[in-house]
Amino acid sequence: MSDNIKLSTWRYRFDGIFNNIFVWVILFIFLVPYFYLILGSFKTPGDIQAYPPRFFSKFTFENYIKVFTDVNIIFYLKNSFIVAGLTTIISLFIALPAAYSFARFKFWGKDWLAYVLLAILMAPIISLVYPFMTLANQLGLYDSHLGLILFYLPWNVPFAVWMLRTFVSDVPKELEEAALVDGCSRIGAFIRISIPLLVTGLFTTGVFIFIGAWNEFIIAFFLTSTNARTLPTTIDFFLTYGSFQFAPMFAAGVIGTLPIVVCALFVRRYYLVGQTAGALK
Amino acid sequence: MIQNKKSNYKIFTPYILLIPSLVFSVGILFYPTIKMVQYSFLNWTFGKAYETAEWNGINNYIWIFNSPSSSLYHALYLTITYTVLSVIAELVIGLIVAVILNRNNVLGRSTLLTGFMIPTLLMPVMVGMMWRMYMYPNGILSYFLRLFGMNINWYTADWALPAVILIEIWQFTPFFIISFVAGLRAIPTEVLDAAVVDGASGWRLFFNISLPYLKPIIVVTVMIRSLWIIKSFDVIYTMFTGGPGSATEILGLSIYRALFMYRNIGRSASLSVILAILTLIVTYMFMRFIYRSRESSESSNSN
Repeated sequence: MSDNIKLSTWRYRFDGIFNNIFVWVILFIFLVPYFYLILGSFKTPGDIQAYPPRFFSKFTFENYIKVFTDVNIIFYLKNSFIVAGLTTIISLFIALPAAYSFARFKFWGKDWLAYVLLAILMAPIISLVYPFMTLANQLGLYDSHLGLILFYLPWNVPFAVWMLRTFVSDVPKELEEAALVDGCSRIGAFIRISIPLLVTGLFTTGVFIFIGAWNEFIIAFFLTSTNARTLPTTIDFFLTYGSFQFAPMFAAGVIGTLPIVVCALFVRRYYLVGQTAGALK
Repeated sequence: MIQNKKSNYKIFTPYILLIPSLVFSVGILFYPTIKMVQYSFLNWTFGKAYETAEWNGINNYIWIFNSPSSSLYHALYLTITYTVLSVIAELVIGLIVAVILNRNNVLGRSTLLTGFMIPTLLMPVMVGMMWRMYMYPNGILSYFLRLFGMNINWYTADWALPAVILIEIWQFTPFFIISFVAGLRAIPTEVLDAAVVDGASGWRLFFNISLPYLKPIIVVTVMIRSLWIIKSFDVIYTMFTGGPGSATEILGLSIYRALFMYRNIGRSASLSVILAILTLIVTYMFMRFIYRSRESSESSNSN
């Protein structure tokens, strides 16, 4: 009997060691390509393109300086911030009433409308690129921030509605009802009582919209040329302008992705809700 | 009278609250969608004014389905291969890692899960660019593969699609892992304990208890990812732009090429309609599933 227990604790220990090594190695494999990008962004162009690769080389900010001076990445960062930021704020404002409606009311056609919104979330952007281009030209919105924001909304508003709906449902109805009894109007009750409780939900939804708009490529690529170009479209410079430029690309890649990774850390608890628009909770 | 007015107001309130959202989603997409369908029936190429483009009936579709130089079947084949192979690999790897990650003796689980989030959040264009550099003949990945005796040139017709699938697996298997771990942790411990008491262990525990519990999450995860892959564009565009030749020309790239290489707006629009219908079918299946599982969870909650 005691032998058996000994054996099983040994087995348990071995099992534990194996499990821990396995999952950490897997994580390492998944992260190493990204870490290599960060590492490479601090190497000199010569070291980056060396073959066989040099893993430890001179530390330099040269690539970052080049990206900021030659490619003027500040301009594109600014555009990305304006477009993604405004898309986030506008989407939240538009979506909140709808989320409240879905979470608090029972009405005819509710499910149907909610699923229409969800279906739009899945609409393939690439299919609509040319109609978007002609429409933007007709409206004079080609290559403008407003044009980009306008065409980002159809995807972000339904997303925000579905996300916020789950957050609004989590706020107890009774709190609002209590405020109604105390003489608040329905809207007043929602603004005074529920909005403060929805800060986390609004923030989380906002971060995911921001990430999506920041990363968006297709609309930005086809609907802008010079004035409103966002960061993702700048990869074109590295692809076509003269020779293939590896080194500044590393730096631009880090600048484009690291802020997003840091942002996402704040909402990591809601990662799954955000990735599935609330379909998985 | 006042009473009546108030009840009318109440009936319409939920709809009024929905108006802004519907205007800025359905409203904005409505006109371009109609235009997309209309263009698909036009004989319209670049350089020709829209006014002079003549009605072409279903000739664009006939050409796409029948012409030997049409890319449709090839694109469909690639899209489906890309989707199915990626998702199966992600599912299998995701399940294995999730089960092991969910063991009680794993340390730092929340750190691990946070780490796994990172690849899925990266800008697709940058991901394409990054792997483009790694997969170059003198890139880091090619170097490592050569150490193991594998001399793969990813920039050939045979290896381009596997390269793209590999990138997809790298970027989104973590999404499957996180999703499945959440699912595994939601299994009530009593159920697992009861099964252990009944003598179930290892594989039987997994196949008879965990897997049935996980099923809804597996279906949702697989469907969401499939939808994104079917309509994907960014990564392949930055990696290969559909090439070499047409080795990675999935439907999204086909639309792009019809538009900007062959400069045929009509045919590009027809392909767009086909892609839209394809995504609509998968979306419909996805929604029916979510709808049913939501209903059953709601009814079980009220019981």
